[in-house]
Amino acid sequence: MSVISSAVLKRRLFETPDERQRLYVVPILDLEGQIRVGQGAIDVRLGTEFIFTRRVQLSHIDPYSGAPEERAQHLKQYQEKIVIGLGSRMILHPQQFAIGGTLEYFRLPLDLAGMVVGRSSWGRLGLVIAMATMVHPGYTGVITLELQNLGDAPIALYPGARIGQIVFYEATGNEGIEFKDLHRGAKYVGAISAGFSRISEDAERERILRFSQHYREASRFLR
Amino acid sequence: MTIGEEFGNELLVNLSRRAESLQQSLDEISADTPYPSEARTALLRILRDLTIAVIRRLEELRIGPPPPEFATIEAPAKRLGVVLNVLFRLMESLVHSDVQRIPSALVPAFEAIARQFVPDALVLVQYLWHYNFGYENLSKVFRDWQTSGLPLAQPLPASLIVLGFPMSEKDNVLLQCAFAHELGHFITQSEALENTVRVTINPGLHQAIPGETRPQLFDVILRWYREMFSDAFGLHLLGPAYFLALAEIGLQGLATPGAKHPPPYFRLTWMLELMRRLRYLDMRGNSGELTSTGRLDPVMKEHFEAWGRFLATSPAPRLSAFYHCAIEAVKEALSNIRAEVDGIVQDKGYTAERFAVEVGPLVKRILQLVPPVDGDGVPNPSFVSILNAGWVVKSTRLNDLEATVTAVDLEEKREVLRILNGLVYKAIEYRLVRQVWARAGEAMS
Repeated sequence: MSVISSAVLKRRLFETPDERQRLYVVPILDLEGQIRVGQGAIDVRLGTEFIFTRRVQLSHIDPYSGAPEERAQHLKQYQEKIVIGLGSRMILHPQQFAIGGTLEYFRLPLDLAGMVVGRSSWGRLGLVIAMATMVHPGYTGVITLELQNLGDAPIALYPGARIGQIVFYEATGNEGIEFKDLHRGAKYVGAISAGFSRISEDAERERILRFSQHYREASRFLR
Repeated sequence: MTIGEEFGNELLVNLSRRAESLQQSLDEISADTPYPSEARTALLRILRDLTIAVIRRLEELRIGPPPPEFATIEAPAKRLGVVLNVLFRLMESLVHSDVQRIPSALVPAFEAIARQFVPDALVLVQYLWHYNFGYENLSKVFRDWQTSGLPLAQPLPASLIVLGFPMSEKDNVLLQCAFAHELGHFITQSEALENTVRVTINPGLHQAIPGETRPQLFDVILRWYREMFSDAFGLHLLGPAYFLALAEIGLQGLATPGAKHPPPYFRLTWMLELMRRLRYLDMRGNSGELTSTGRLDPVMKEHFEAWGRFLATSPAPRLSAFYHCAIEAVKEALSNIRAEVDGIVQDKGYTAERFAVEVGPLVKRILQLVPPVDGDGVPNPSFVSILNAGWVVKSTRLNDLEATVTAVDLEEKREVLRILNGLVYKAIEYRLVRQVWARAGEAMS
């Protein structure tokens, strides 16, 4: 698995006539600043929408309990979306968690995968920007960032600031697969901002919830 | 005896509380503004000044003797009443305006269009709880304010337009083309065109319907004129996107015959005819059949030809004789209206040639599920081209988009519309971000 170089990334962005092969990242506000010569990554900027948890009203999060609509509502009830425009800032307090997004919108070709990585300049202030770091081949949308301040002091975050980078790798074995095959049933296709979690739609939920019942029955049988 | 004692302190306490809650609301609004329009910023500043002034005045009234200008009891109460009414009227405009989750990136774009005609125009977008599109000029509120006698630290905006839009359609970016119609009303008012119309249309009407003497016919047509002018104005500014947005609104039955709006059938017929005159479409021989001039791609051509067939063969017979008669009369006046709009829009409108060059690549990009805006080194597409590309996809290529995301059932197809709106909105937002970024760079150098 090798990292795709800046030169190749630029070719994939601007000189690839085949739409299937093309990497889309829009808008790149400062091309030379965001794809620097010799580096194997594209710097990404912090977007303008954020989701915060209303902790004072939250006893716990159980994404699997209740009816489907209730579950989604339950999650939204405890999360609040706010918009911080360019030129403004938001303060992330120590241990505080927020969901954000990249300013840029991505569409990865089927032969590239990405990994979200923080910039060390921010990391040294205690900022973590991503927990689910994998960006799958064919992903289409704004990349969600999970922001957390692990430091001791509040950190001011500015939309538009270069907050992290995406490192790209070659993904093999996807020949013969179409974009539409990947998009069917995908939860976050075409996301234009940080989104609420849709974990409650996970197909395995039903099975997981039946575990305890079947586990008890299996235990009785084994005894 | 203080004013408080005379009126009862309860009244003053209530007024004071209202003023304080107003201040609190202002703080909340200003904290959640993604891309504040100049109109919002101006209003917030003025409202804050005035709120502080009111609170101070109330405090004076409560604790000390009445100031000398309060010679009578009625005067201060009336004055405070007016000021508070103005405050709450402005608050109402602000509270439902471009705040949170609403595509406020559209506001600067429409403001830029308005400023082509009125250089100091400020635009505020207000969302309505009922299904309606509207236009309001806040100048009356400002006049009330001036009569209140309280001095202001901030100057009043000269032209502040509040454009109303149904809250239920707040995510429907494409339908916001209707703003151009409301801007048309603003321009009509600014240019005081209606008197000209009375002079130019009336003789034409009498000529078109010889012997017709009913005054209400002419009143109806003059009422329609305002709408027709705004439709022509919108079409000049936004091209086919305007027609398609109005068709969608009209098909939902918003406009009814007899109201101030002409029947949707007539509006669409007239706009289609105007599109022909703007060279988006052409007429084949004398058959009345519309065809493409090559500025629309084959699928769009087919789409508009279908509109032409639909309008040529349907609802006119269902309209009452009165309206049929009115339509015939107004057709005679179309050239006048067109000439007036042409005179106002001159070189500021969107052209068929521009559509032919710019929209195709943007459509192609949307079908790739990518917002049609690039970055560093590539010129920004125009706002109107983005809207048109969105409408082209919605009207003629939605099947392709559905195939891209393999939308099969109804819910998945609704999701495709959400994605389309998102892509168009994101393109408009990115366009704005690029402008802000470039201006910041220029300021540094």
